[in-house]
Amino acid sequence: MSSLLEVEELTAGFGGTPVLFDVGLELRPGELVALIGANGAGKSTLLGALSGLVSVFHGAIRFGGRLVTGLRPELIVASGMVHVPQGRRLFGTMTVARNLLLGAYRRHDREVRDDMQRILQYFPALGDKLEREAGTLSGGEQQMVAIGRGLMARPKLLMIDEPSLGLAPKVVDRVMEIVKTINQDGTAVLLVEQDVVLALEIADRGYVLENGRIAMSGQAADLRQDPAVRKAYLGI
Amino acid sequence: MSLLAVRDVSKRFGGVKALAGVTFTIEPGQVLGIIGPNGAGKTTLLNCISGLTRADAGDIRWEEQSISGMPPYRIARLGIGRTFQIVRPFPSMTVRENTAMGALFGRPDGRLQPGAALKEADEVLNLVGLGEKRHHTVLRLTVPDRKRLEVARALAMRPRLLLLDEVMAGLNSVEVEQALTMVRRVQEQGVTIVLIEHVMKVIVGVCSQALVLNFGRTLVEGPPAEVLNDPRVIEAYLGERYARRQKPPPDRSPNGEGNEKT
Repeated sequence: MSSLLEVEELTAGFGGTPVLFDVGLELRPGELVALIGANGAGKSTLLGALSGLVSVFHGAIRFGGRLVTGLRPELIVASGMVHVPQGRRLFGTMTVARNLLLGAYRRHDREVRDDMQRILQYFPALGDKLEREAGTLSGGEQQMVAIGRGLMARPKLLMIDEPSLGLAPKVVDRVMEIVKTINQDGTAVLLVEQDVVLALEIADRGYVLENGRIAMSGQAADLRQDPAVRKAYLGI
Repeated sequence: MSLLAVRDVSKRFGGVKALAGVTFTIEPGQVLGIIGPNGAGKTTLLNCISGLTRADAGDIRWEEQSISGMPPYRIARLGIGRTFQIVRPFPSMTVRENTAMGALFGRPDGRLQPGAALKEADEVLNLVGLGEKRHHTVLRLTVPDRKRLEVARALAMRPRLLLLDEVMAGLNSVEVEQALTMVRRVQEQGVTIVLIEHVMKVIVGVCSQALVLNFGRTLVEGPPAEVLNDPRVIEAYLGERYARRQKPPPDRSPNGEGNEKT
């Protein structure tokens, strides 16, 4: 089967200084792939490079067979690659509904409102909070709004950066369940997550990023058992 | 004598009751972990103690003396240091200069000379494991290092009580271990610690006591191993899946997260 996302020899970084070196990565339609690694390894930078937010110095990013390297972020979103950033980054003084609608900023079809109703089915907790200011929601609810906003762009690939950050264990489990459900409904997911146990529990495959390079990749079940992964990221 | 006594503290924001009468004490040398669902009032509680937020009712006493209504800088100089969830270092300054700020302005005994403050900064940077990076600009620091810097800035005030607000969020298991070592080192220096965390490895690994807040009230308080097995805590906070993932009893080793799935 052909790839949805294909990254080849990607070198990218900030101000002329590379952070990622020669990164290769592939993601097939409908897959849930986890990207793990220590803080500073370059995980968020990689998502940024894929989104067009971080400069690419060398290499190619193909999405749906099309070369998207160097495209402006809004064109990358329009192609179906959508980024849910770390720390939610909601507009705190705007309502939940408006935050969700902003995800569809580039869409001009008539189905936006229907989509919002459909997406809210993933997040029953948000149903009666649409008119609340997003900044007044709990951390878990805010993360749900951020994921919902991403879905409003009708992504083929949703890239989620550390959804568990600052959330209570019970809420982390809930958010992970939702991510898995979204994936099972057909959206491919690239998941960056510090909770490696949880990430590898719901993922099909995983990549390990170390100092800006892909150090390892494989089936999630194999990575979970890998002694090097267990030692470096699970502390076992 | 308790170091800090919080008595029946309440705080309301508009229609939301963030704290609905919280009471607890902290004894010298203790490490108290505060856990609870998002929105339970944990950060509001730290804000009340450090004077950032004024409680509507109740009293907070530092060595028997009320500090309710005192401005934050005076509370800081009494010996209560804190970190913030969202770190805000001075971006144009080095790690060392950022740390020296705490020593320059937060000391009970008046200001240090800049040279002495920098020396003080070097000492606490070594303690938190940032000694080698002291001349870096803060923008170059990774997330765990930024958290360490946040702790260093508070420590440079030489607090007797240190309030840590989620300094381990966003760290992976191995990075959490390193951070735990740092907390233990700080505690060995005689600093009493209150920390908010969602990482149970931290609560089990370093806390002598755990306090669970739910809807602005104390749900359960006790030794971490007992608290984390309490059905009320599992129901309100940890969740069934988490409880199943843990090997009971979790008091043997801090490495509670097993790989076995049930």
